Amino acid sequence: MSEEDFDVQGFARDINELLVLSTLQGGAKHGYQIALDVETESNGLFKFRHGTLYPILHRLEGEGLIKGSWSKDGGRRRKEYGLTPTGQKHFSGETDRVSDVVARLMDVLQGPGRSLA
Amino acid sequence: MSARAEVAFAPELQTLGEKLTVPIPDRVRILHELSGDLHALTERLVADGVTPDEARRRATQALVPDEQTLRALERLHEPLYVRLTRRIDPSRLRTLERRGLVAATVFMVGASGLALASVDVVNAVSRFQWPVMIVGGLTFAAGLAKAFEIWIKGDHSRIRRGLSVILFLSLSQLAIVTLGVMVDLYVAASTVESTPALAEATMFGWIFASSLLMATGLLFALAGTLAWFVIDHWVTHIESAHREVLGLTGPGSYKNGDA
Repeated sequence: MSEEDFDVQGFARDINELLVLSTLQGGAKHGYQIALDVETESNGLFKFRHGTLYPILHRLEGEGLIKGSWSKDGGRRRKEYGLTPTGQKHFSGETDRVSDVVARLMDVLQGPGRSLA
Repeated sequence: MSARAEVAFAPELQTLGEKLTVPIPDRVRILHELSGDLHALTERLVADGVTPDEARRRATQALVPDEQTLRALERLHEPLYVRLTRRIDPSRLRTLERRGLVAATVFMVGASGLALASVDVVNAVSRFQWPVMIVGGLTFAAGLAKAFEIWIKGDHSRIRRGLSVILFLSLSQLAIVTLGVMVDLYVAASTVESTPALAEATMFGWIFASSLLMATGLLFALAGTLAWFVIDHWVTHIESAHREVLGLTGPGSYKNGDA
């Protein structure tokens, strides 16, 4: 990753996508369950509001990283998402990339002569 | 889930259904997904001890898309054709589409005309043959334009507009064919009456011209009616699915087609 490639807005979007992929590691889930799990697992730090989860899910599905399937529950159609092998691979690669970005950020913040309180 | 919660999200879904300008099948899938999640999250929150009204408020806040999210969904669900032509000026694109439609129609009518000319029947055809060809071309153009609008462009804002034109043109073919056969028969009978020596040639000519007229007219009418039936059936199907997800089941309550 070169410095000129780094896009802060894109990185924020990538984080949201990674959060979704991360919650699907445990198996297929409905959209609302993904939103709840992200919020719970991050102790309320990350929240999906105003349906922002759906564009993320639909984009990931379009890219083949997750796969949606419909089922009927009490007469109502419900959509469930599961991780695909491509999504699993993407998740691993992106997790490494985010770790690298965060490590480099911390290097800057904790550079020579500085200390974080 | 209680009946109360079933009804509770209908206004939100109806408002979203009106705002979300994506092809209707995509809209139905999005609304189904949202509806399922809204009810499931409300159920979950109520089970955790939250009051139904508060659970409904929280579920709506978390899951119902705001304007910005709706635009993001619309971009994601844009038909391929819209994506590919996004950079072209809309008025120029409309002109190009109209030219394409005219070219396709001229090609179809021209190919049919050449097929007729190639079997050397042009001088023997009924005078009603050309109206049948023209109306056939118009039927083809109307069907092609509608199919292009709903399946290629994914523009479902006025989904029923122009459908009845296809059926009207197809049925008018039958009227033209019937009228043509009757008028030609009257003319042939008059000729036979005034010139009995030409009876055989005249009646043979009438049979030939009428057969050709009926064959082409009925073929165009059948193709047009079939096109109308397929498109109308598809539209009815997706409208029904849309009504179902919005909880609009009463007759006359569906507004999308007239939007």
